[in-house]
Amino acid sequence: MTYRELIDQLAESTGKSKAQTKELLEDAISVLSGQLAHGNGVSIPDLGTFGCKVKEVQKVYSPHYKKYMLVPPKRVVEFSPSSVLKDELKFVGKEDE
Amino acid sequence: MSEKITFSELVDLIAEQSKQSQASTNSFIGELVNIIESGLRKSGSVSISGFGKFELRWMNERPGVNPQTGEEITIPGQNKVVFKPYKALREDVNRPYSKMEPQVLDESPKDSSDKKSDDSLEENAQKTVIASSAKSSTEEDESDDGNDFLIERPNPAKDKSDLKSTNGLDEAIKSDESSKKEDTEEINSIQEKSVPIPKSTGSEKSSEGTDESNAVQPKLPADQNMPALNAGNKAALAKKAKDSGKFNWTYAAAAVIVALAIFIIFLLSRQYIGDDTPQLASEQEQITAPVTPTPELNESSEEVAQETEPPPSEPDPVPEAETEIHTVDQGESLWSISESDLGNPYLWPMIYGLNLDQIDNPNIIPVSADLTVPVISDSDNLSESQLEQVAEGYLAVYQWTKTNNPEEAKYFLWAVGVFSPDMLDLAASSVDQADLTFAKTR
Repeated sequence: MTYRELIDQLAESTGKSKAQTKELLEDAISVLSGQLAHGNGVSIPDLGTFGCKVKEVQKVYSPHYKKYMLVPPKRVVEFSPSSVLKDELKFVGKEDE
Repeated sequence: MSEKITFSELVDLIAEQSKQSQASTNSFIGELVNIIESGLRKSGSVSISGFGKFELRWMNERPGVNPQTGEEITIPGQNKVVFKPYKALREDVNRPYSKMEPQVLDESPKDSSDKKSDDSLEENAQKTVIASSAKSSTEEDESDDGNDFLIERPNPAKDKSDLKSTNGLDEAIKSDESSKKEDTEEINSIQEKSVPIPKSTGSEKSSEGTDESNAVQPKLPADQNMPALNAGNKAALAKKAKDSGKFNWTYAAAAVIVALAIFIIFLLSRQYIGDDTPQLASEQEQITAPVTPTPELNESSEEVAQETEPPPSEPDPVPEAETEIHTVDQGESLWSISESDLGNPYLWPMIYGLNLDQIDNPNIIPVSADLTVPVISDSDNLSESQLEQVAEGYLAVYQWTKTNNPEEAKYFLWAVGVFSPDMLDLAASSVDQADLTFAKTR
């Protein structure tokens, strides 16, 4: 589903104009992204949990340099779906089996 | 490790941002979730630009264990929901660590040690500092390569203003030496810094090593070495410090030796010139005094001896009565001979001009050739004839350069003008006019 389709459907179901839903969606996304950038996670009911995790320094072997290398630490976004969502979508597309 | 905010707090923030009521924002997000779910159900992927993509991925049937009973079961094939953040979000979130880059370790696959980011960053910084100062010392060393014929050529494009004054040259030599000394001092002090730090990380390691080795780190390729970590740690770090230490000590030693050698040569050359000075001064006075048409009584006698007006219309240079023979040793150049015998290396064209029969390319002088070298008592104040000699020499160099390296020739013509503008005018008819224009600029 593309961004445009998302906006269309959202506008339809909320009864708002497309322009307005686009703005609202962008606000919501930017707030969420901002919180994640700060290191704060949040749980959205029936969707899942967005979390911010720090990956520690890792020693990996590089076949290119033929040496061990230290991968620097990084902070990543993790998403874990809620069980409601999981159950709903577990067997999608396999319902005829 | 992440801190969390509650959903209602998020709603508040969004409501504030979009200037909607909390209730409407709440319902908006609820609708959004529904749409995402239906989108995933229908097409298996929902992408939100600037944020990320939700995707459905199929997991095949696989064997598993019931955690409570321990019996084996098969986990049926099913979809899982996956979220992949897009670049903007990834970069925003990783901003605190954005400057860091992977660091290559000098370890064979046997050694293993876990390093915390702080220590590895420090070492990285130390390494780059050491590498850069080692690089600068090698650059200095490379300029002293010995050849059969030493090819050292003063580039007249640089330091044009220093051509006449030895004082400038002395200062240049002194600053070179002091900067070299500073470099070696830098290297030494950095050397001292880098050695204690790995040792301290070594001691840190052993206490933390036990904790980390107990923690699950299944991704490390050096898994089998885990038990040996604690013992291996200190040894590995110590070896590493020694290896990098060895590397740096040789460079430091080399730089110190080079600096010392230059210092000694400088002292020797000074000594050599010092011996001749008292002898020549009186002789020079006798020669130049009768030539002076208008003695200027206001000035000191020293200046009278050296400031002479040229005899009218005498284009031919009067060679200095005093010359000597200098046998070229291996590794000498016109520059070095001029520096040691004349006191000012920039006067090398004097020697070139007097030995045109023996030297063609001024950059290559034959070993064991006997060159006629003028004797100069005071290289700071050259006599008129000496200046003419230098200018003549530069003119000869210009002629040679014109045939061999025409682009560079004009600088030598310019140098002719520095020492004797009259010579420049005299030569005007036989030189390239473009070069002459350049040579007349100041």
